[in-house]
This record gives sequence, structure tokens and C-alpha cells, in this order.
Amino acid sequence: MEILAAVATILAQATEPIDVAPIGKGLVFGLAAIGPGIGIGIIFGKAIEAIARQPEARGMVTTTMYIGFALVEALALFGFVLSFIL
Amino acid sequence: MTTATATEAPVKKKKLPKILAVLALAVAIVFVLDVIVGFEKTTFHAPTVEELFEFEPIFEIGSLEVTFPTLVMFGVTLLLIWFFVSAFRRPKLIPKGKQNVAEAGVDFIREQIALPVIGPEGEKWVPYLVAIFFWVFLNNFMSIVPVIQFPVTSRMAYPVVLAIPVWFIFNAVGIKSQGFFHYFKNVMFPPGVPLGINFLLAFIELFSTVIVRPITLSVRLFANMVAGHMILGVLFVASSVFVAGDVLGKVGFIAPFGLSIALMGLELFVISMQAFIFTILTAVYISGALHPEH
Repeated sequence: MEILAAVATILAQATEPIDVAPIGKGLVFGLAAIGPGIGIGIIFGKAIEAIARQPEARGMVTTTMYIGFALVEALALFGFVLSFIL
Repeated sequence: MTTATATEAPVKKKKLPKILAVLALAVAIVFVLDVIVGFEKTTFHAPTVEELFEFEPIFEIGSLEVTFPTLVMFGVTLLLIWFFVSAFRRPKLIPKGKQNVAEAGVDFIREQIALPVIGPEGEKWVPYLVAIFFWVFLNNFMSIVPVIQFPVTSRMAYPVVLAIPVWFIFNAVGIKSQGFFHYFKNVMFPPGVPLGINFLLAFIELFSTVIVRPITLSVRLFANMVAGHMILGVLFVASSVFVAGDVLGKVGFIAPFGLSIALMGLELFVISMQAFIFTILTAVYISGALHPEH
């Protein structure tokens, strides 16, 4: 955060004022997507493993997988919405 | 590897001329249209949120301003009511036509969502879940229907109005089936958790059940539709700029245009999955209120 503040002051000293708000918005969504990205990878990977081990449990695994996927995906989407609100 | 390439090669040879012919046809149509209509030259300007999602009211009823999404929503709702009523008005033992499609839809919700998630009591909830699923699906399906091209639930009011009844229903079901104190005890103190951690967990669980659930339920649907609509909007604006450009642009417009057509397929997948997830989460919440963890 200190680096960002330093960059912002340097930019503020430039002759033309530069709008840094888009960078912040990009950072909000980018950072919010890291965790859910990892989480969704784990969820689908484990689901594939489970289906490969027991193909007859496919229906149950898929349903549970989508519930988990939906819960994790919501976090990334909060970041998406927040980047527009800010 | 060798056998795979040997079998793939003739298929490719057959498909390639067809694809090229379609592309050439698309480019030819653009040139002909340019001669007839004459496109205005524009520079690219990414559509903003306001441009994509703000609508001027078309007409007013009293102080209620009716905008385009509302009209689409009413149209879809009437279509759904007409479809299901006409499909099931005189049910036949051997279904055909509309009744066949409607029965397949109801059966999908019953077999895939209501019975596996809620259990035998799920039979009662099938109508509600069917209504939610088809309403959400068809409203958002309008985002890839030409001319309409607007996902209704990308305006925040619609998912909120869907999520609030869900919140009331699962809380009411929990209180009715377990009793007021028992229900909140089960929500706040899940069994099998050490007492020390439970002091922390109790408020997190209460917060997540009462406040976070309806918010995530509505924001998930809303944000997915907003994201998909924005991507399509940017790509279609880009292809319109290409089309209005010089010869290189008129040929090259097939890149963004083809990509946007492909993304419409992805959009269809996202739409059906979001409708499915909204319905299945409703079922999960109702099921969690009916059967507490032991």
C-alpha cells in the first residue's frame, strides 16, 4: 500500500493530472479473482478425481460440485461488482 | 498418434471449404450492405455500464416508470404462464408436443434437484423450484435472442425480488419444522464443534445464514449476467467499428464477430448453469432448514 501511495504522489507531481482510479478498479477485481481461481481449480479437480474413482457416483458428485462452485464463485463476483461500485 | 491423425485428416478436408465459404459469404454481405446502406465511420469507444444497463422509461403508469427490461420480464412471464397452462390443461396419458417438453422440464427439476437434495419432502417444493428455474432461465435467455439482447436479471432489482422470498421461505420452513429456538440453536451451534471455537463460530454462522445467503444468491446471478452482457457488448461494438472501416476492416470484422458468436454459446452455458445453481441453492437452503445436521 505504501508503494501505491508513493506512486500516487509521484503521479500527482506530474504536470498533467493522471486518473489512477481505473488502476484501483482493475486491482480490486484482479486480487478478488486470485482466491476463487485457486478454489474453483481445486473443486473441479477433486470432482474429476472422484468421478474417475467412482463413475456411478457422478450425479451426486456433480450436484455437490456445483454448489461448492457457486459458493466460491460468489467471492470473485463480489470483487467484480465492487470494482464498478468504487 | 498416427491412426488419430489419419482419421482426423479427411474430416478437416471436408470442413475447411465449408467454413471458408461461410466466412466469404459474411464478408460479401458486409460489402453489399455497405454499398446499399453506407455505414458511418466511427472510432472505438468501449460501452460503459450506464450505456449498457440504463434505460429511459418507455411509458409511465402513475409514478411507476416502465422500462424495456420490465416489458421483457412481463412478456417472458406471460409466455411461461401460457406455455405451462396450455401444456397441462388437458394432460394426456401419452404426452406429445408441448406437454412432452413441459413434462421433461418438470421431471428434470424433480429428479435432479428436488428429490436428491431435499429428499422425499421435496415433492412439495417441485412447483416452486420449477417456476424459479424456468423464470430465471428464460429471462436471461433473452440476452442471446437477437433484437431483444438483454438479460433481465442484470438489473439488480429482479434477482433481489427472487432472493427475498427464498430467504423468507427457508427461515419459515426452519422455524415451522424445528421450532424457533431449536432452529436458531441449530444454526448457531452446529454439533460436533468444541465449545471454545463455538463462541466465534456462532456469530459467523448466524451472519452467514441470515445476511450473507440472500445477498450472495442475488449478487451471483446479477454479476454473472452483467459480466456476460458487457463482454458481448464490447465485442459487438468492436465488430461494428470494423465493419465501418476500410477494406481490411471489412474483411477482418469476422474475427470479433465470430468470437462474439462463439461467446454467445458460452453465455448460453452460463445462463443455464446460473438458473440451475439458483434453483439448487434454494433447494439446499430449504433442505438445511428441514433437516438440521446431527
